[in-house]
Amino acid sequence: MIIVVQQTVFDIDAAIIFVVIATSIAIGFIGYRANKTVSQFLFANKALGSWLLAFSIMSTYYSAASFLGGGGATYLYNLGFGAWLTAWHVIGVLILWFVVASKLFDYVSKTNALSIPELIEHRYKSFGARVIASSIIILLFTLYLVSVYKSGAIVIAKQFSIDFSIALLILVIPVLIYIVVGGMRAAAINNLFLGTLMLVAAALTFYYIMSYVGGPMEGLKKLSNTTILGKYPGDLWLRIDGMGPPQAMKENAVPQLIMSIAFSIGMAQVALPNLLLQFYAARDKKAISRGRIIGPVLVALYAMLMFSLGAFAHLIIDNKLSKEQVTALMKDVDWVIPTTISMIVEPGLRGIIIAGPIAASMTTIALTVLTIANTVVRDFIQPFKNIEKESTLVLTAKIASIMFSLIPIPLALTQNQLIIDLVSASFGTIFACFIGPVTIGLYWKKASREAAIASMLIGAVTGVTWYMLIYRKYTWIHSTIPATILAILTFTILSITTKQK
Amino acid sequence: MITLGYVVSILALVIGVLVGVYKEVRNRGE
Repeated sequence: MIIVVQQTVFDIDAAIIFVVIATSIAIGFIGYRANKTVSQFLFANKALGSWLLAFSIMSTYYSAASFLGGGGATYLYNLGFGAWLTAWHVIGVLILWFVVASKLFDYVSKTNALSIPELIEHRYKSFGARVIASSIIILLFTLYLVSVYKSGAIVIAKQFSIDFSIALLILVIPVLIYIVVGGMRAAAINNLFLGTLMLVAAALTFYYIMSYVGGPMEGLKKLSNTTILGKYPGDLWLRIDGMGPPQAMKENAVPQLIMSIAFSIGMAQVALPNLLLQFYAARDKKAISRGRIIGPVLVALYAMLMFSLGAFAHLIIDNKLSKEQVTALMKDVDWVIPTTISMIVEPGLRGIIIAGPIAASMTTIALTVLTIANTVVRDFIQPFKNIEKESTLVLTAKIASIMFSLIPIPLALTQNQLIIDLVSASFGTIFACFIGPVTIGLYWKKASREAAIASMLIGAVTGVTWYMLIYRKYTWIHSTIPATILAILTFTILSITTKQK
Repeated sequence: MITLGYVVSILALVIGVLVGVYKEVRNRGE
């Protein structure tokens, strides 16, 4: 895939990215002193206010994929994808903040459960459920990190014209430094800094693309009068059953494909442990109460700015590219936004925009690694070897952070199809596994141990096997949908039919 | 159907923010 990046003697865009990465490392040292206990290291001493919390959760949730794939998606899909991806994100974030956050905070405050698996053990009085939850978190989040690493590193590799493996290290090592030095406090402050950068990058991208096409309404008019690649009328982008992957169009499956992917990505927020864990670090209930206003606005703003831009990019870049290049971009939409901004944005501002997806990757990596480290220490080491010395616990958490941020690197370099499929399936599968035991279980008193265990296992098995064996081969319904339905059904039926002990 | 997606997004956000502000104001009053 060709990405047009203008090189100058002094590459100001690369310099901006360098400054952003260096600043994130410097921020790591802010949290250094307040990092002596495991509560300080993993939960920022439970002192996160509403702004830090809201920015941290938004920027953890959005990885580089939200900028690259999310921004470019409607270059291939019709605008229904952008509209419904935005809608499900707004619905998801409202459920997260209004339904889950306070309840989770109350439960954690009452029980002092310090990890999602520990909460599950406490809620269902089952150590087995805790072990299964821990295993799922460690395995699937490690796989999920592979996709986050890939999308962030490829931007760095293109921008600096360097090898992908070196780009991976440039992405991961700074995050590793700031989380090991500063723990969750550094990660949260960085999430505020990098999250702001993401929003600025999204706003600039929206502004430049919309200015170029004469605004949204004028852009839509132009799009409907255009024919893409000489064979696709622009009108196809204005119908939910219009443009999509050619195979899905042939099978009249575009609407179901769009709705299932949009639902899977947007609703995942309500049960992702790397987001839920951050409510543990809230200063008090007031922080969550105020965060309820800020958090949804941030997520919705980013979604509204980014998720519908790809279609308008046709009006900007298609006449500057060959037919083969447009066809290639429609197959790999990740490069639509970087290619577009490289053509219409001046150096400097372009660097700020390109720093957006890199920042998005860094923020997601930080909190996901801390979530894995927390699970390793709290759920895999402490139940078997009671470590009382705080400094040893902190050291163990730091070693776990280093290990689990390095493990995805070789996986990101492999071309093994099994690993690629597992990575692609992991995000939605995590949601399917925890929607019952955590999100519903917080409210439903009748929820049982057997239901929680079976729901997690069914969610994991269905999510992975459907993605690898059925999705795109026999149906265009994304694996998250059947995994979530089966997991919730199992959770509900078993909770009703099994007696609580 | 596409317009509906955007309408749902905006309406849901507006309702969410209003409910959030209402609850915050009520909490401060208590």
